Amino acid sequence: MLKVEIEKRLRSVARSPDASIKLCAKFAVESSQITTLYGASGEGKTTILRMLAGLTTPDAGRIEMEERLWFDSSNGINIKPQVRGVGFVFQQYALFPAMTIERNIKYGGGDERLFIRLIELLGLKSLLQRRPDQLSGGEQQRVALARALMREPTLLLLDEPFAAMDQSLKLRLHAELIQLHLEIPVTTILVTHDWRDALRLSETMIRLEHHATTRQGPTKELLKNEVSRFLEEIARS
Amino acid sequence: MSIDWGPLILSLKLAATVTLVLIVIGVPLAYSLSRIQGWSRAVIETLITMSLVLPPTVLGFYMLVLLSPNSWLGATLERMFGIQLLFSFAGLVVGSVIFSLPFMVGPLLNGLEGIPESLVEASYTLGRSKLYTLFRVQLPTIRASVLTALVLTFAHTIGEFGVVLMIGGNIPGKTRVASIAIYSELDALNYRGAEEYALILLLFSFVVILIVRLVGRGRNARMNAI
Repeated sequence: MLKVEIEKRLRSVARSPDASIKLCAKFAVESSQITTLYGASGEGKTTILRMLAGLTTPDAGRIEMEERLWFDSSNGINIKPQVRGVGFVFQQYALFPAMTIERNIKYGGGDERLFIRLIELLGLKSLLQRRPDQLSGGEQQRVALARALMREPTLLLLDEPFAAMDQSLKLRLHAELIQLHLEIPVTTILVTHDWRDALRLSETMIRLEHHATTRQGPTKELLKNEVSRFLEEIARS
Repeated sequence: MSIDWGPLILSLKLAATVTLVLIVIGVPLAYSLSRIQGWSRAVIETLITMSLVLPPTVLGFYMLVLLSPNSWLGATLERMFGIQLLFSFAGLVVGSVIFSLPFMVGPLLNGLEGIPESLVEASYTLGRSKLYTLFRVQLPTIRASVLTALVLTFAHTIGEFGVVLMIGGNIPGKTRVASIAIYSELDALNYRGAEEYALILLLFSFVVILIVRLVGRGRNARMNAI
């Protein structure tokens, strides 16, 4: 289980250069599940992911993963991102441009059998000798997923992975991600501002409103309003 | 063409040595600068860039004063290590390293700052150290900038005149590099000799800049596609 209780003061450039806002996150995530962190743009979803990965340091609080303390401000504990064992899929995928796809996937090390399994599961076999700039957005995302999973992470963080995709590609990748999660059930947090992503991919959801995690529970329940509004719009049109 | 190749060979030897020394100094310096902000960075960058606007004779003058046997530094170097930097090849290397520093650090710094931070962070989350990330991700990604820095440093050192003349003088086989040889030939009214060296340096500069333009353009296009 992942237990999080952190806060971070952020500078709000949008309001005024000197204004700051306080981001508060308190939630717990069950192991081996996909959980969505859902909220509008600018709420601080990515910052929460970055704090979980150790890329941004919270001002105060505690992060505990499978009873291992990653961060505790009261004891000065802050485990480096290199040793947290987190798989991070960045919004722009962050594939290394000077390397082939094979070298990208193997960059963090890992078992050769897992490599073969991942490239088969994600259909990357024919792309291994190509460079990232020769791949489509969907293919790049699959490579980023494979690279993150090669280290057998205890926690997989996906930062708006479907943000710049059209609906048909999104649907295909949703199906692939569900399939992949059935095969390799790693604890996953998916950040999205699209309730359809949340509904299709996760059983549970954490809702972020006014820079704080306000509610946590079954995705369908927390998205009732969005779904009914959507159905009303369909009925009206 | 009865050209004395000595000055040209000496120029190449000086440029190669300076480039080698500067890549060793320049990579950690550019990396450190890319990781800091604020006034300390501004001060360091100003110091590095100063040699671009200073007349080479100013730098040469201060180095002459600093390294002379009468100065504390010059006297200490001679007493403790037996090193006499003025009017020696080693002195030329020291002067040229300082003078060419912005040509190495500038392109490297621009390159490092042009890389999306997420590439570096992805490497960290994949368990790799800062040093490993620098050599396996950052430098290969900016290899066009590295090549530009190497070529510009080499070429700039070949073309140096003021600092070299002030620190090294004009000693054949020791400090008379090609640019000094042109001056020396002109001084002796040997226009033919000066023309030969000048033509070689002219062609060299053209080829070097052409290489930088072609390589830089091709690689940047690939970077933009990511």
